[in-house]
Amino acid sequence: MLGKILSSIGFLLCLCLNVSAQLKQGTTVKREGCTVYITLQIGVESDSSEAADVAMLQEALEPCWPMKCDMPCADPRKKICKLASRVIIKKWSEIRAADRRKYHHVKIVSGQGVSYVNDLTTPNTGKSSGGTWYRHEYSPKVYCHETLHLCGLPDHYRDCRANRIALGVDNCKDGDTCTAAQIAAGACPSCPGYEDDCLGNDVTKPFSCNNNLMEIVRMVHDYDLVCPDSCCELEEDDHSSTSLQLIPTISLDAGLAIYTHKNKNFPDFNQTYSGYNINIGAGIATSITDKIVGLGTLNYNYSSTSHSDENTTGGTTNQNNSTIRFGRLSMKFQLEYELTNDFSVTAGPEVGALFCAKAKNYGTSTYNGMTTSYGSEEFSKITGGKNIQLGFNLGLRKDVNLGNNAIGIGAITPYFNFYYPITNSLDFAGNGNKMYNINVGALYKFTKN
Amino acid sequence: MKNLFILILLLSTSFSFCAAQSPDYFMVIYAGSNAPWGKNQSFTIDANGNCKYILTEVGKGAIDSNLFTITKTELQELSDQVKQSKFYTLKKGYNTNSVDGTSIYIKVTQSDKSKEVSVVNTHIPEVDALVDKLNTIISTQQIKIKY
Repeated sequence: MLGKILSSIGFLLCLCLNVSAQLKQGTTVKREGCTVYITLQIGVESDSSEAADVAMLQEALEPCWPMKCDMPCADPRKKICKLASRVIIKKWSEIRAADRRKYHHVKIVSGQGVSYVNDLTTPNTGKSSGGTWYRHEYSPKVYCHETLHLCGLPDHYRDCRANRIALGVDNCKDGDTCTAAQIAAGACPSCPGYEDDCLGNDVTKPFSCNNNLMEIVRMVHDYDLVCPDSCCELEEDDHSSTSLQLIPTISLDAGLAIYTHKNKNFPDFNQTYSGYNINIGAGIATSITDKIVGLGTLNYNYSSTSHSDENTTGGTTNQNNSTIRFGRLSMKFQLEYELTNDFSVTAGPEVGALFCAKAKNYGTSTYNGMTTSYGSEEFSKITGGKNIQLGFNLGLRKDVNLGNNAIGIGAITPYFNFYYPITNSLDFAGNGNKMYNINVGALYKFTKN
Repeated sequence: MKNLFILILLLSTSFSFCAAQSPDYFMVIYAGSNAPWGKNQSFTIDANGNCKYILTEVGKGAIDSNLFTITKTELQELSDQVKQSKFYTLKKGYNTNSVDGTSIYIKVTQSDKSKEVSVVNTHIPEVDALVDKLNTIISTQQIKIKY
């Protein structure tokens, strides 16, 4: 039974990891450790060769994607976070229908024209855009300019052309208007501060960290994207104390409890009790590296498992019911490793003691039509020896970070956890008896003062 | 005789006055690039059929221009096409959320009514028909409104 449970867990793990492989929309901004990534997903459709147009676009975007920038910390003495951009370009025909909404749909066409983007969509909102781009454009840098529109950024030049003024276009939003001379000339002067910007009036300019990439990050309004304190380490010559961040945590999980009882003198004797368990913990979390968090938790676990069976021997039919309940106080030590944007794996030992163990055993015995009861439905304390409870935890956590540092202010992390006991629960003359827990729950991390 | 002369004079004056009044419409068209590169066309027709065309390129200003007059018959054909296209029932803007690309803006003023329509990165049959008619009329000037 344990083998079947572990197989199911493995399947679920694989399923979860596979589902998270593709981002959910055309433009995603997400922090991974101390780096904030802007990821653009483009699906290319072509009126000619998709493969050739994908290759053309990859080459055209190479000067502007990927790009790396520094994100400053609030304290200028401290080191910096990183901001990086990356683009994924696929053939539209090779994207599954169910996944197409996660890509900006760009059609590359022949002929003469001016490339455009359908609309400006905000990153991380589940929406993707698209457009029609001409294969032979004014400059290959046009595609870099258009990708910034796919990310949701507007133009940064004052459009003094009559058709644009008639449409009410106001890119600069600074209260200034075009002069008569600018209107007569159909000029497009860059907005103040954007003179060297790809979204200004010169599309051949390179991407700007502050004007372009940081503007994309600022559009998302996610506190998690702010450079976290744990990434902003002090410079080496700074003599002020480097404080270790200790974040209080509480956790609550519940699930399946399985108690196995084997008798070494009777190899055929193998009882499995099943029931429920509840686990409450309080502890401390600390960031060890940008991907690893250490957690120490004081835990209380309450498990209740039951077993019923019926057997007939020599004309006597015995119907037996047993329930065992444990209260275990333990210290749990775990390392949490960030696997992907969304998921972390946790593992570590747990050591504790049973301070509460009780059981009840009752049933009926029927012989020649006469039934007698035995045992008691009242719980009795288990007075036998109780071993040191040593076990191992293995879990999976999903990052639902609400806070603005690596550990999170008010971060709630739902998780799955499997507790594997190494030692027997009770000292039953060497008989094997172990309590397994398979739980789901949530961990809450408090703010650091 | 004297009265007849005065009557004729009055009638002539009235006729001249009426003739000097503006005909029934005035058209403005802006077409071309919405991006910070490319060309833009400006085309205006007053009520007397006087046409003014300017071609500009971003960063270069005006690169071509033309002044000419179309006939009253051609003006009427254009007016008829405005009606056939049901121009006054069109929306003010089509696909205005799109960025860059090309667009056309048309404003028609006739008598006491006026209508503006902008079409961005798409084509509306009614607008296309109106532009096609105009392009037919002005083709002799080697001008074609494109968007």
